[in-house]
Amino acid sequence: MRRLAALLLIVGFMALVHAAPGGWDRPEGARLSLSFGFLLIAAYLTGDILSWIKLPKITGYILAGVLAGPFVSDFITRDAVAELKLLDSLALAFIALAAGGELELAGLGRRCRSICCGVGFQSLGVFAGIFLVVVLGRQWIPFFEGASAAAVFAAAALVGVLSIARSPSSAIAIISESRAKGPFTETVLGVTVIIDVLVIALFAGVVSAARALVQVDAGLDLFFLLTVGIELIGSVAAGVAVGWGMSGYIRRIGSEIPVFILATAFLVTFFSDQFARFLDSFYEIRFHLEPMLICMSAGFFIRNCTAAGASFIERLDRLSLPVYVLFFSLVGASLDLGVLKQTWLLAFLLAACRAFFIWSSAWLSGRLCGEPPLFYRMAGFSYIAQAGVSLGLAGMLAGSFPGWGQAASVTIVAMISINQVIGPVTFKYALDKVGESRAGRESLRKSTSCASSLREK
Amino acid sequence: MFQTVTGALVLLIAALAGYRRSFARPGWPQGIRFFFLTGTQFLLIGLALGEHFLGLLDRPTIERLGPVFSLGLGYFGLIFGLQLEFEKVLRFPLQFLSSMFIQAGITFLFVFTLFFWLFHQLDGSPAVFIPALAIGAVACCSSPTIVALLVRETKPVKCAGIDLIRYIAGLDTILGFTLFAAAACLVHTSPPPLGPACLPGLQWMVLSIAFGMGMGYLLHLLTQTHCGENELWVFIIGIIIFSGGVSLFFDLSPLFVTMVAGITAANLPGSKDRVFMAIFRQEKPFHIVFLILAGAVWQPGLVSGLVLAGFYLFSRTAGKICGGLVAASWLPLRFQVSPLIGLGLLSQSGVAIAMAMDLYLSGSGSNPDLLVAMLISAVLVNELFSPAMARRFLAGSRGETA
Amino acid sequence: MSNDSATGMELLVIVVKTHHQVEEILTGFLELGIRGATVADVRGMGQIISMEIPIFTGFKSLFPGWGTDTHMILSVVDAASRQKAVEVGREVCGDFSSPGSGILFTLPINHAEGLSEEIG
Repeated sequence: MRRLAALLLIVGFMALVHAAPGGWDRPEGARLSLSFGFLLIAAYLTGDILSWIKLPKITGYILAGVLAGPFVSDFITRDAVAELKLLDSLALAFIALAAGGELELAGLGRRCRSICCGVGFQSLGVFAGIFLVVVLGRQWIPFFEGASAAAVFAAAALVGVLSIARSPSSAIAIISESRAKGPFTETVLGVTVIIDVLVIALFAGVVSAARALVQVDAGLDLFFLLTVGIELIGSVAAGVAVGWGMSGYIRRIGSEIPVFILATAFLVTFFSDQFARFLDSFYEIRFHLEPMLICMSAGFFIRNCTAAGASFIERLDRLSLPVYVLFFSLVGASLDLGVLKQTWLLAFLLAACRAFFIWSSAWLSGRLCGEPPLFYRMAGFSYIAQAGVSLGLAGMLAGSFPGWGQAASVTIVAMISINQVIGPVTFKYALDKVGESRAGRESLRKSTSCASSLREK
Repeated sequence: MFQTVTGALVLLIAALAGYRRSFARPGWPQGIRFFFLTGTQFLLIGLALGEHFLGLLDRPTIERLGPVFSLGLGYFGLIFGLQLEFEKVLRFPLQFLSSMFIQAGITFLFVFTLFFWLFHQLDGSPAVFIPALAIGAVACCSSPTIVALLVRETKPVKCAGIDLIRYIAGLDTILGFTLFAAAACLVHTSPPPLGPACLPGLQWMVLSIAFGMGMGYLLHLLTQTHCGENELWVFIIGIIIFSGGVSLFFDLSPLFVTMVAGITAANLPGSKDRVFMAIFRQEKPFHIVFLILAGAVWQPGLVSGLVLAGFYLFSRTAGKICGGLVAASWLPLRFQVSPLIGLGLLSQSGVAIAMAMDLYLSGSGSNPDLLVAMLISAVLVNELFSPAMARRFLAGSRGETA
Repeated sequence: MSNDSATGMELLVIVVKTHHQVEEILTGFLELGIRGATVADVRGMGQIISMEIPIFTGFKSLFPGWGTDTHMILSVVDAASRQKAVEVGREVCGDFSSPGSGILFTLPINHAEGLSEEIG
């Protein structure tokens, strides 16, 4: 009840500030500080309150962001959301470090077959399923009105690829919140991270193919594909270098590690952006290293190839809560409810189809790999969430394909929004059911001890 | 943007590397030891990084980092306020509390009166009242650092005099922050809630107190039940940032608002000790950031600033000595406190720097650059001679127990 | 000196620097079914010898005993759970080899009363 009272108090404060004469016409620093401080406390409290009804806390963070955002209370204005984007990028880079740091080579080795099958089945299954749904259902899709068959196929392929995308940030946040560990968790995390990286390459390939299909005079842009490939390899290499540097600092200096990690996450984001601008303005070369991939590779390298792994993970864990609160509340505040209102039915249907195809392909791959029945029944619930990368890629559609591109982008963003909200809930449910979350382990232990005491009697 | 990021990085590295090297160096020569032990050398480092030399922390960069610094001010106010449990304040003889107010009040009056007169001679407008008030507020504060260092080194026999100056140095900042907030409220340009006709300065002051108490109560609500360390940090960071934001939004003094928040939280049941200990560890890095920042905006070549600094030092020293004399004579004879108690309260350091930066960031008053230059020059010189004065006081104090 | 206790119980003592580590260790204990532990806030020798120099916190420094940032966890465990409990400590604090990472030791107990039953 105290938490509820505190939430009401801070909302009251914010309402008072919002009602002040002159409105939000204040120095940028004031707005930023207010928005940041409010989001941090209100989102955390909302998450805590939602956890009373067994929902994951990050759902609360997202909900708080939605309610505080420009489409509901407007406590966090559009400008404030844009101003906080820098912190959002920092948080994403940090989460990518954590995601990479969670991937242990030994665990990946043990689960290699399940992970590879999962990646393969889900990528193909979801892509093929969504592709067919969009092609077969085109007469009911408004933005395909008057579109050529080539455009429909291109759009279907792009929607299909974007449907494959996952959310490592949601996955790692739920795993961290539930203190989950075990084979199921290892598989889910491995599949999620690999697919999210794969999607970037797949999207580039499909965009190129789609352009060739739709634009008569455009061929398959091999140079573009090569560039994307080099960007991915370059990002991984940069990540290894960053990881090596970080592990050196942790081993030799070893002080203020949390600040150092945050600073590194920030600098990776900042300098990859600056590097891209530099190349574009001085050499007219479009080459962009992916900060998320750099950080993921860095985290992976530190965890598996250096002696600083355990220390690194422990420090990351300590920092994780404020970062997750901020990141997911900003995700909520950035959700475009206007877009959702326009295309909710189509987005909801796409989301439902996607969920079905994910569940089926995960079930099939788990069964073929000899996983326990509970694992392959629950696996599909773990892959629903989408965020980050998929949003960025969806945004590119409008620019690449005038006409239907904008409308398709809007629909996909709406679908991603739905998945962002539902995904963490289903993943937590799955972790509890398979007994790998802390709550799941507790209930498993209690039921085992009840059973053994009954047997003794 | 690049400049801002570089500036921020330099600050961060200097603060985190620097605080482990400062505040604990026994091997230095006696004369300048305390200068380095209090971290005052970071003012000079800031000067080197500022626009006069390396240019890494130039004005535009500092202005862009403004919100970050207002958070630092919020931090200082909160940590100061969190110490002030009424029960602990009143554990000492009530005469100590009254001596504190007497000493600080007299110092304030001295400095305020002299500066008001001086500014009035230079610029006849009534607006000079505000900068004189702000300077008086800064002057009445003392820093406990030098006294703590001397007590650690010389290990004098426990007596009322030492307890008294430690008590006063620990608490007189309340008056300073309050008067400073009053200056900020008087100079406020926006209309207050009840309209501009009805004592607007007072309205803003009441609002400052109300906001502070609200934030303090919120901190209490959040930490009343046991929370994990990660949770605690979310609450602390959120409260400091939100309070700083509220202060900036309404053009109030973040130092005062968060001090009131800290006092409120300290006097309500909750995990205030845990909160205090959590944020206490960041005291020195924040202090160093502010020292560097102050050094970066400092204009040592401003002759008028140097002249004013001399005037400030003179008036403050006189005020402290007179205030100390009156405070010592106010105390009953059984305390046997040396009348030179003002000599032990000359050091300012962190407190003055924080208030100078608040003045600079708020941009209030007719010439904030001049005032900040004056204060920083004065602090630099002050930290060179105040240890000797404090040592003289300690030598003059009699060794009887209270 | 015999390492065997008359009761088969041992006192596990872990001294750590941060509250975060305390929480992690207690969580680990709960997962092992160790339901009883006492946490005390203590000060290390280093902290007593090197006095903190206050900047804004001069008033607090007037009170002796302030600024405890070391924690001691005491738990009575049976010999069978001892090794697992020690593993929990190692998992949270590392191998205790680096200075300032904490200490861990056990003592045999000859007599004990008022202990709660372990879970499971």
